This record gives sequence, C-alpha cells and structure tokens, in this order.
Amino acid sequence: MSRDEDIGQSDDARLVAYLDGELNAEDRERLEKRLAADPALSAHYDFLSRSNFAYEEAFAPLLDAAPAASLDAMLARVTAAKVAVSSRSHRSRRGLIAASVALLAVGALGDRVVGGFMGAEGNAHWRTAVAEYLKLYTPQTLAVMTDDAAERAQELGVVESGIALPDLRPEAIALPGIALKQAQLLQYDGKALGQILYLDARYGPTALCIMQSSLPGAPVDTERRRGLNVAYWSFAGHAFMLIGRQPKEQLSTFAQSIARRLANTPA
Amino acid sequence: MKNEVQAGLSTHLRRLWRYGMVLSANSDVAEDLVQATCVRALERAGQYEPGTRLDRWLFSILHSIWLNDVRSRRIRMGQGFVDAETALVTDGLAAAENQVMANEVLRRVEALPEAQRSTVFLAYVEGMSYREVAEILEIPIGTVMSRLATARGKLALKDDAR
Repeated sequence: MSRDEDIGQSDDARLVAYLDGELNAEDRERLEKRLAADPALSAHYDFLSRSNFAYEEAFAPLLDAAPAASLDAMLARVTAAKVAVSSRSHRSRRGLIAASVALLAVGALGDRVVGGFMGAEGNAHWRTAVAEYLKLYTPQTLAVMTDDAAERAQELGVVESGIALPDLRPEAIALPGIALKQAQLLQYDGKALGQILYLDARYGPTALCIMQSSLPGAPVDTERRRGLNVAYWSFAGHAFMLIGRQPKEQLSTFAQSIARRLANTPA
Repeated sequence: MKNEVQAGLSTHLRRLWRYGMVLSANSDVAEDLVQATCVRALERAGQYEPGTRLDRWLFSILHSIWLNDVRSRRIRMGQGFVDAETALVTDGLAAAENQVMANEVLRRVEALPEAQRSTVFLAYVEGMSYREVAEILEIPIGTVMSRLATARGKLALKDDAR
C-alpha cells in the first residue's frame, strides 16, 4: 500500500511508519532520499526515534502480575456454564449473551451499581481501591510536603466534616515516630473518603482511610491487598483501614492504638 | 471450531488480562473483561475462522466489550477516584536498577490518552502490524499511523520537557 496516497498523512506519521518498518519499498526509498537532503526532517527523525524503547520488556512484568490461577478457574467455570447452557435448549444462544452481559455487570460494577456500597464485598472493594491508589505514592511524593501542624489541623477539620467523624484531632491519629504528611477528602462511589497520609522513614507511604459505613462494629483484622498490608476495623458508623508496607503485626498494633484513641474521643 | 476456541482460550488469558489492565488500569475490571471475553468467544465460536490467529480475534472481542459496555458505563458513573492511568507500574519493579528504564517506559505509556495507549500497546508490546491493530480497534490504518505518530512524539520527550 502506498502511504503517500493517504490524504493529509503527515511527515510524522510517515517517519514513524518508516521506524516501524511499515512503509513499502517505494515510499521507503523516497523518504530516505528526503532524509538525506533535508536536515530538519532528519533531525525530527532522530527525535522520534528516541521513542524506540524496549516496550515488550517493559510490559513483561505486567504479564507476570496476571492472576493466572484465578483466570484459569474463571475459564473452567465459564466453560462449564456454557456446556450446561448449550445442552439445554434452543434458546441457549440468547441466554448466553444475556449471561455474558450479566456477568460483566455483576462482576465489574455490581457492587457499585447493584449491591450498594457497603455490602460485604463492597466493603472489601473500597480497600482494594485505596490499596491501588496508595501504590502510586512514593516516599518522594510525600517528602516534598511540608510538616506544618496548623495546616494538618485545618485539613483534618475538612476531613472530619466530610466523613462526619467528630473531633478527628492530630493526637488521635498520630503514629509513633512517623510523620503525618497530609489529610484530604477523596471520594469512592460518590461517598466521601477521608485519607490521612503518613511517611514512615523505613516503610514509606502509609495511609489511614475512613468512610461512613452501615456495617456493625468489628475489631481490628488484617489482610494483604495488592501487595500491601492492611489493618481494618469498623466502629461507630465508620469503616477504617490502615495500609502500608509495614509488617501486619505492626500495622495491627498501630490500628488498635488509633481505634482506642478515637473511641475515647468525646463525641 | 468450538473446541479450537475452547482450547486456545486458556493460553491467552494472561495477555488478555494485561490488555484489560492497559485499558482500565484496574485489575478487577481487567479480570471481568477477560471473563466477558471468554463468554462471548465461546458463544461466537462459530464465527471464528480456523487458521486465523485466535489471539487477534480475542483481543478484538475484548476491545469491543471495553468500548461498548464497560467504559461507557464507567464514564457515566464517574467511576470514583480509581480512574485510568493509575496502576500499571507494579511493585518491586522499582527495586532493580535495570528496571528503572522499563518503569519509565510504563509511566510514559500509561500517561498517554486511551486511544494512543491502546494503539501503542498493540503495535509495540503485542507486536501487531498496523493492519492488525486497525482491525482490532476498528479504525482506518491512517488513524493507527497518526495515533502512533502523536504518541511517539510524546514518548520521545524527556521528563523535564513534558
């Protein structure tokens, strides 16, 4: 195919196609002649070729991160369901299309759309969301933030009213030897989510997150989520989670201490 | 044909999941996308042409589910704070010195708008030809070229210049 026949095809596109080995012999030859004669075009070619990265290698770890066991189990389930449906009736085709749409709706979005936020699974989902979000923070993200007690107190005031948790004072959520860096309001599924960020010199970014919840009170429990450790509990109409790279035991101790202090806070 | 699809599916699950991650940046959504892709592929196994590449066919199914179903809903819902361009950079990557560049490449790709990101991924990570990318994304080859050209321009920029 002759790329030059494409109307409005820019030199950029032509140069990139050349880099990608997608030009035919004729276009390639023509472009090479122009490159030899035109220093500006040649400089632009050099610039664009700086984006010749090892893309495949860069994305290989993401392939390794795939939940292979879970995917295999899913395929086995889906295949079994398919066999069961096909063997039943003539209406199986339409049934399966409906099923595929339903599976997607329930699986991807169900807890948010159908079940409401604070179903048992929904409760776990917000912790996954927080874990994914916290993973984006590096120590450098937080290191640049200044340690200003007055600013923190003001931020905590905003979070306090956002999530309706009275008297969220700095001393109630302080962690021993770990700097309090920021308090902010985020939202999950349209509901306010309070996020308090700490920077642990040894273990890096750590967060205490709080949302209003209809779940009954529950003592501190721990889990691992997206490669981070989580200590979570609920109390007085709120769900709490403390998340970081600290060992579970340490997070659990911190969590229990915060839970005790918040419980003693006069309403 | 049905058996071929059924047998072939299992070998492509991880790559499909990775594409789901590149599109959604959310591992739960990625997993659900793969599941819906499997269901639809089994249902439409009769439409698969033996001798053609099964993985290409599966990628196009996944992409169309993403485009027509999941993404439109997520956008309508506002989707909370876990939005796109989030979580491709995996833990532990940063640790190894020789992974620094790989991490940087991931960051640059995930910073691209979705249309360019998916095109770059299919062409450069999955190694597909322009024609194959065009078929999966259901766009003209000229659009593949212009997306790659724009993306390359951004990917080539150094950090301090962006």
